[in-house]
Amino acid sequence: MNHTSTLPGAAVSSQQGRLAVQDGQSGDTGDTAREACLLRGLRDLFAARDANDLRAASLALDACRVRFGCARATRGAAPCTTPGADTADTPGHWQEAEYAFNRLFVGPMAVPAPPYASAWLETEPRLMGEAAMDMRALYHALGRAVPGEGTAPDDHLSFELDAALALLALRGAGNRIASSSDPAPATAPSTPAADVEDAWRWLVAEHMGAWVPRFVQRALAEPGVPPAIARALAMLLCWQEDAATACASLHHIETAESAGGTDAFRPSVAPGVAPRPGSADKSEACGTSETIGAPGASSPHSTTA
Amino acid sequence: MPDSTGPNAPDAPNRASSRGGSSCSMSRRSFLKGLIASGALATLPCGLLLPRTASAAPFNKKDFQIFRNACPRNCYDTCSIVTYVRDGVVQFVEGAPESTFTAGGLCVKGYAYPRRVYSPDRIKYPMVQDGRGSGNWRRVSWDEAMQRIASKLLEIKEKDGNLLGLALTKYSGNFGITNYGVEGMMSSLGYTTRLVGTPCWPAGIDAQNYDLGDMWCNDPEDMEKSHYVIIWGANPAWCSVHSMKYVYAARERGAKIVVIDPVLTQTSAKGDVAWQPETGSDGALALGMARHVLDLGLVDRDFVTSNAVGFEEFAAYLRNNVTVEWAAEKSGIPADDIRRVAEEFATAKPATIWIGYGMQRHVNGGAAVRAIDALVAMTGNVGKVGGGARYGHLQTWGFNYHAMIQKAPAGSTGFVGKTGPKGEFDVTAGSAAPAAYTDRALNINKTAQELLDAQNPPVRVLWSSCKNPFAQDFDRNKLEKAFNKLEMVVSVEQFFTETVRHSDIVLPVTTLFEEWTVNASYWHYWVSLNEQAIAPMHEAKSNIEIAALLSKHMNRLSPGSCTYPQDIDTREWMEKEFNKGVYDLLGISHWQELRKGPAKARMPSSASWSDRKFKTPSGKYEFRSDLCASHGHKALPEYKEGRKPYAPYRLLTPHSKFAIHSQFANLDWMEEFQTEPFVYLHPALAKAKGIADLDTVRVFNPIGEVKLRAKITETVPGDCLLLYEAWFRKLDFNVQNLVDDESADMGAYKTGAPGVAIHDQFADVARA
Ligand code: SF4
Repeated sequence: MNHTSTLPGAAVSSQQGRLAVQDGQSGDTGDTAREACLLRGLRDLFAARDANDLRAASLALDACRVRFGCARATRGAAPCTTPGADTADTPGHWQEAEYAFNRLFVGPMAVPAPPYASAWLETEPRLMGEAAMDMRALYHALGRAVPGEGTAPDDHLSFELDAALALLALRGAGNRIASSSDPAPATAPSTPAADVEDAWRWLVAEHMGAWVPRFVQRALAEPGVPPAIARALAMLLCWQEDAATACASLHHIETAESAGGTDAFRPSVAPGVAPRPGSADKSEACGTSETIGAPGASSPHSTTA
Repeated sequence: MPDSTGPNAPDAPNRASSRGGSSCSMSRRSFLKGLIASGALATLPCGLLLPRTASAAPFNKKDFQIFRNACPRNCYDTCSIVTYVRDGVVQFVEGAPESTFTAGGLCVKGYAYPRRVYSPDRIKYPMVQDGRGSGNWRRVSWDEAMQRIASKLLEIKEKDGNLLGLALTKYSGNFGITNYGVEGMMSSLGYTTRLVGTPCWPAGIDAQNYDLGDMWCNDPEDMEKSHYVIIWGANPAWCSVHSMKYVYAARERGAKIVVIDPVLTQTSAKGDVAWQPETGSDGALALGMARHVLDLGLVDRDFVTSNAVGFEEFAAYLRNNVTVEWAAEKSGIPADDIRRVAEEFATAKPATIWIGYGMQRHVNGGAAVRAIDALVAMTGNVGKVGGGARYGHLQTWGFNYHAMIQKAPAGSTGFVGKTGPKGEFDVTAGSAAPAAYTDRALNINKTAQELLDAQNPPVRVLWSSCKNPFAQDFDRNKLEKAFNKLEMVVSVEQFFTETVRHSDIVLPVTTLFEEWTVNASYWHYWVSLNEQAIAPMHEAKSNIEIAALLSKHMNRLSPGSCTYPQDIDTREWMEKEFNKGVYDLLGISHWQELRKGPAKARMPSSASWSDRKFKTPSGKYEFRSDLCASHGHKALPEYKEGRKPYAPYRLLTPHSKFAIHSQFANLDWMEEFQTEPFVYLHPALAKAKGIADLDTVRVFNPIGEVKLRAKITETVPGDCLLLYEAWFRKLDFNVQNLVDDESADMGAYKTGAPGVAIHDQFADVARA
């Protein structure tokens, strides 16, 4: 899903950091479209208000996978979860899913997995913490804001996924910008494309990496998680991990070439470091299913790390 | 709930460190500016995020917006709060320095308020439970929730021909004046059923009304001028921390501090003398002291002849029926101690007694308060600065009750017959001309039984706001049966309490930071503005906004079925509570002045009754109250026997330092101090029962049982089991499993229903 990952053998040297991105453009349609499809589905699922929303988002997610395959499987890795496995598509089935969804994420009872970054990232769990303000700043930078700013916590998972979707689109645009000009000097403090990359990296690796894995793990530890929600949680985790890992590979190069070039990003996500403690759930979530899509490069990191 | 990796898990904190903390805050990230400049933002595929309007406030980290708030819980102190807001988020709160009472500091609970507003546990949306108690909740829009409720109300009105099938239970969860709009909502629908009275302090209110004609205490700030302070059945070191500075100041000026409580409390520990009398023997103790004062000739003759009636009859009662030895035997306090304190009290002028609410939660509680009033009066301490029988007051509550006073729709029918006041704050009591119909009153202190018994019509719909009935109403098991009879339960809440679990619909309600209102105290004399400091989080609405929305739906379905205004502005409604009387009392000309800080009532004296013009029928202090006799009590403050034990040990369920009733204990900051409930028992009792410290035990009686761990302490008497009342979010603990609904002697006169004998309860204990 990272652009570099689809370019077997792309020699991403320190001089070619941007080029790699540029090159990615040619192959990004499939992966970007897959990622966008996934992000949209996940966003809508975690924003669901009722059984209909859940059903629509879940079916959309399943459709993404049928259409695009599993990113991991494409690379030859163990695939991420099973495709749409809901045996029943009845109102009662989705009604039960709604109750379970509310017990996990919404309330009115205290929920085990509040879908807000601040609930996980604050020293003492709360809402509207620093993480929410970080997200607000990012939305503002994108010229956006959550509906009812100050009322809805900015760091609700579905808003964060919406922002990821936005950055994904900007990355596509930025890549085109980058490709149309000479490779930027390595020390250039900021170009639109670099800013987008930094923002993306911050969001998916640093910010979401700090809470999404724990959120997913906690939710999946609950009894009776309906399959549709379990699949979505697994896909969320796979996406976040892969996106973070890809960023880290890329970032590793960039920081090497331009340490201190931007104070915006610290190498908090090192290549190969799974941002999630405990790997048992990982295999449970991502490794239990049949292979989807075509096998691809065995490891996205091997050529870059 | 297994919680090993959840956001509340011990390991959850500090992951923040992996993100670099504030040194890496987003505001400093260079890519933010770059994104804005990139010009590529117009076509983003966002489905939820809206284009941001350019007018959004600029973010300046150094600036706080400062707001005025007030702690609206049922706490003596009703603190004036200063709230610091940044980015539209409450960052922290502190006590207002302008109030000499709050004096710049809150209590540990008050400082935890930001944890409440931003608790991940907060109820965020209106929700409907498919099957009460099933745990199957659906999110609904406000409109859908209101539509359902309105339809149900119209259905029962159609069926019964009136709305008496709708009952309201509300008490002290939020004392902000505009929250009386909940009562207003009921009135605007027609004549309904009300759970009336108060579980808190009614016996004492009636007692003071019989003796003095009103409940009216001195300014607590003048306690520092007392030469002798008796704190009787109150624990201000925990429950009115701001009052303690006056107690300490009095002692620094030479006053002796006597604390009377069956339990050795934190306040007892700070007193000079700590008496631990037999629970419920307070009346005997006060009368024994009175007898000794009489014997020594220390009666204030001037007061009892000029300003009182019935003293000679009272003196005769004392001589004929009371001895110090009798009082010593009843109370367990040695006769010589009683004599010494009585003499000191009578000779130190001024001397005062703080009558706590705990000591009147008995079948003889009203009688005991009358005996204490008599002791203060006969020693000439009523009407004196630094003196007084301090219980509470409502002097600063003269608001318009605009939100509360609403008209029934034309043609409404209701209850026919005589009704009393609907609680201590019912400003309409006795003022209105007799109407053809009224609300139906049920005793709030017997909620379970009353809900079970109500007929023609039965209570079909219960609306609960500013209250957690399952935590506060007595005999929980019976209450569960009563709830099973209800056709619909609507609870207006912030957290998932046991009451919400037993509801069909829950509506999220605003916290103090999210609404405009005004707050007065029943103890001190400061009045505080409560500004809306932040937008309501999630989908919360204030009680009056909920009422307006219900009215909209009622009228849409059946025009004219509800008179409540349908479009309201909470700030305007706060303004409408003020009047000239309030302004004059506070010495302000406009409520806006309260934005600069709370204002204190300008009373003629810090002493109540300084002009000795009592509001009794005689206009004098009434040692003999014929009114009291006409209500079925004794005319004199005679001793009344306590409740007969029905189990081996007395059960006490007082307040903890870390909760106000069912509020606060669920916040994480309070959980750090109070992680679980304990039953406290004396080493001798523990030994007799074979209970070791921290053993799990059962406390049980005919009402029910609770299981919890025991703590062994010499601070509780040997025949007592003490459990602090609280609602813990993660624990199935409820003291109301053990407390029955036995009435106190008084309360019906001024609050509409007798009080409840919360501390006349008994239970047994065994290792679990
Ligand atoms: S609980 Fe009482 S003492 Fe604490 S902040 Fe509120 S009013 Fe003040």
